[in-house]
Amino acid sequence: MGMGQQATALALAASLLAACSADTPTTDPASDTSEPQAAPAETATAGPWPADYAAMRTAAAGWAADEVATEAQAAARYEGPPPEDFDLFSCALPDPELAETDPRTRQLAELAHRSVLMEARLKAAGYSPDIWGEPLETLEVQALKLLSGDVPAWGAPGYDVLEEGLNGLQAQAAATMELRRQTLQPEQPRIINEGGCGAFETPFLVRADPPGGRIWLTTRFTFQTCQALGKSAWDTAQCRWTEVQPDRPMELSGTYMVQARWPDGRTLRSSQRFQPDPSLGEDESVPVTIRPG
Amino acid sequence: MDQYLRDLLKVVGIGGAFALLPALAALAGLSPPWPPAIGGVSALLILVFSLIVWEWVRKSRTSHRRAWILVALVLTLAGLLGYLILYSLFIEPVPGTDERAIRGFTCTPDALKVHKEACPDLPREALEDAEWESLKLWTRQSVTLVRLGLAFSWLVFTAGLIATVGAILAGRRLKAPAANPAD
Repeated sequence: MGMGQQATALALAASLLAACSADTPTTDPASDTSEPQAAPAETATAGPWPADYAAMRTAAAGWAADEVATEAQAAARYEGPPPEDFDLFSCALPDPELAETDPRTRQLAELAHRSVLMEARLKAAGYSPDIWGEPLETLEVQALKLLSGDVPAWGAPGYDVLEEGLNGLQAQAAATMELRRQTLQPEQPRIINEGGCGAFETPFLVRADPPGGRIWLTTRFTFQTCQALGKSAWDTAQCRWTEVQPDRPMELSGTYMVQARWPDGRTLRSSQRFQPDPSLGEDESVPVTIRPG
Repeated sequence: MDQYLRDLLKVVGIGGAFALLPALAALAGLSPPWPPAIGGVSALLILVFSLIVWEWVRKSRTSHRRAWILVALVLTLAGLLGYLILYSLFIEPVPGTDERAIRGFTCTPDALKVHKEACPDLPREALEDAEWESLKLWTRQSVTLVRLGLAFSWLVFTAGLIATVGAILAGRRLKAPAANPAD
């Protein structure tokens, strides 16, 4: 890290502090331990947003609905015990075309996608808007303040600080939601912000050869945990497997268990190591081909 | 007054030069992987410490300065030793990237089920199997304590370093007193 980079990082840290300490029209989630306030359901996260951000939120609605539907399908296949927690952090990735835009637009669009998805998932999970409405709006208001200055590109100096700031806001929102849930819907799963989609991931474009095969992935650790619980670890209904969406990059790092099925009955069960390719650009996906065993 | 400014410039200049250390260390991959702005924090700390040392030591007796030097040297070595031990025990480089994963010292319930008696000193492959996500294998509390330990020992090392050099130089004059009899 050079001195110029450090200066950028410091400037970002200062702007983060300024953003956190600035007067905002909303409640500070970290200090919000009061009784939950009645939040209007439909207007909870309706803004007022800047026009460009409002448009991004609208554009993200369809994507979020698809993600929630996919999550619901996976949940319906799952036969294990009901989840104890609701993780506000989702591993779903916004539209890969965002990578082509400038850093600020990309960050704003990612914020819009993630916020709309959080709202859709909380609604689908049956949480009252009184729990999530105001904390989610606060998260977006403060994140927009963070993104109002210079926004570094992915991997550029200061990006880590920005990302940490945004993640911190989401963690605060989850903590506030959880406080409200304990009073308003104690029967619902605990709201957490655990994350855990993998660290230092690289986008991989996983394809079946011949085409038409369906591919599922899970980390080897998840696979081993499933085995340790006495379940049939290759069964996608018993353990947490993620089906690969054709032509959609997945953020992966480390060793995964892979299984695939082709329409002609051929199958594959193996492990695969996903390692970044330093020769590729930052936003380029590493192609991986899965063939029958 | 001239001497005062010269001394101040001297120490700030030295501090500024040493503030480059974290930048160089970051290039060499030596600074802690957490928090993200550790390089900037180190640089600021060094500048502040150079001023503190200058303020307290510049007019001290030689014996007092030597005590400062000794204490600062002990801090530097203790910080460096602690940092290197923690680094060796808890840092794992991620292949194919410049990133480093930070281990913890208490396994999560899931990691205990899978790795049993190997916990908490899990092999590198365990991290690779868990997407290099430390929090899947070790509790958040233990990983956080390791992060804080690394950052603290690093800052003790850098602060001790500048205190040592500052204490050695702060009491010396750039020119002979005869050049500035008023001082």
